[in-house]
Amino acid sequence: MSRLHVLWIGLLLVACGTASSVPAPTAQPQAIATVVLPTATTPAQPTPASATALPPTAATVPTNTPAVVVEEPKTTGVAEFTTPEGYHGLGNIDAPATMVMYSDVF
Amino acid sequence: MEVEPKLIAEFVETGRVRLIYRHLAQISQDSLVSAEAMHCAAEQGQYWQMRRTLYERQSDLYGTGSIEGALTFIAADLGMEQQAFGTCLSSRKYQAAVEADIEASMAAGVRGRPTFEINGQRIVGARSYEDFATLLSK
Repeated sequence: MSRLHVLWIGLLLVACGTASSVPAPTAQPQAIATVVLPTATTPAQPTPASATALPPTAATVPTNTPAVVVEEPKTTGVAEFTTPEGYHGLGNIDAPATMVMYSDVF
Repeated sequence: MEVEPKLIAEFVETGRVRLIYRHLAQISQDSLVSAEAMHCAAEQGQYWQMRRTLYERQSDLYGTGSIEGALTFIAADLGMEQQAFGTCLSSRKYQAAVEADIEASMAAGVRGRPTFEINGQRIVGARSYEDFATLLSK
C-alpha cells in the first residue's frame, strides 16, 4: 500500500470522526429497516443500493421500535417473520395485503 | 383448517398476502399453554409447523393428563429437541407475551374465534375459501 493510499485512508477516518453524533447502527438488516407492520397499504420504499453502506438514520430506524425480524423458512417453505410486537408472520413481508388471524388451538 | 392451506398456497406462497397469527386463547389454561408451546417451537424454528400440527392433532390434546406432556410429545414428533422444548414450556417464559397478545386483541374488540382482519376489514367466524379469496383479491 502506497503512502498516498495511507494518507487517503487517514483523511477518510478524520472525516468520519466528525459524524460521531450519528446513532450507531443496529444489528438489524438494512433491507427490512423501513418496513412497518401491520400496515399493508403503505408500500415499502426502495432503498438505494448506495445506502446499504451507510448507518441508518433516526428517520429510518426509530430507536424505540424494534425492527421486523425476517427468518429463513425452516419448515413451511414460506418466508417467516416476527413483527416488532412479537407476532409471528408468514409470507412476503412486502406483500400488498395483510391477513391477521386471531385464533386458538382449542 | 381445511381452508387455510389453500389460502396459504394461493395467496401467501405467491407473495400476495402476508399472514400474521394472533393468540386468542380464552377457553382454558390448556389453550394458554398451547399458545406458549408455539413460541417454544419458534425457538427451534418450528412456530408455524407446531401451530399447524396442534390444529391437526387437537384430539391428542383433549383430556390428556398432562397438556405439557402431550405438547412435548408432539414437539418430539416434529423433530424438535425434546429437553429444550420441555424446559422452555415448563418455564412459562412466554406466558406474559401470550397474555399480552390476548389482552391487546380483546382491547381491540376482538371477541370471537376465529376472527380475521384483511387489510383492516374484520371478519368474525369461519368463511369459505371463496369468501376469503374474494376479499384478498380486492
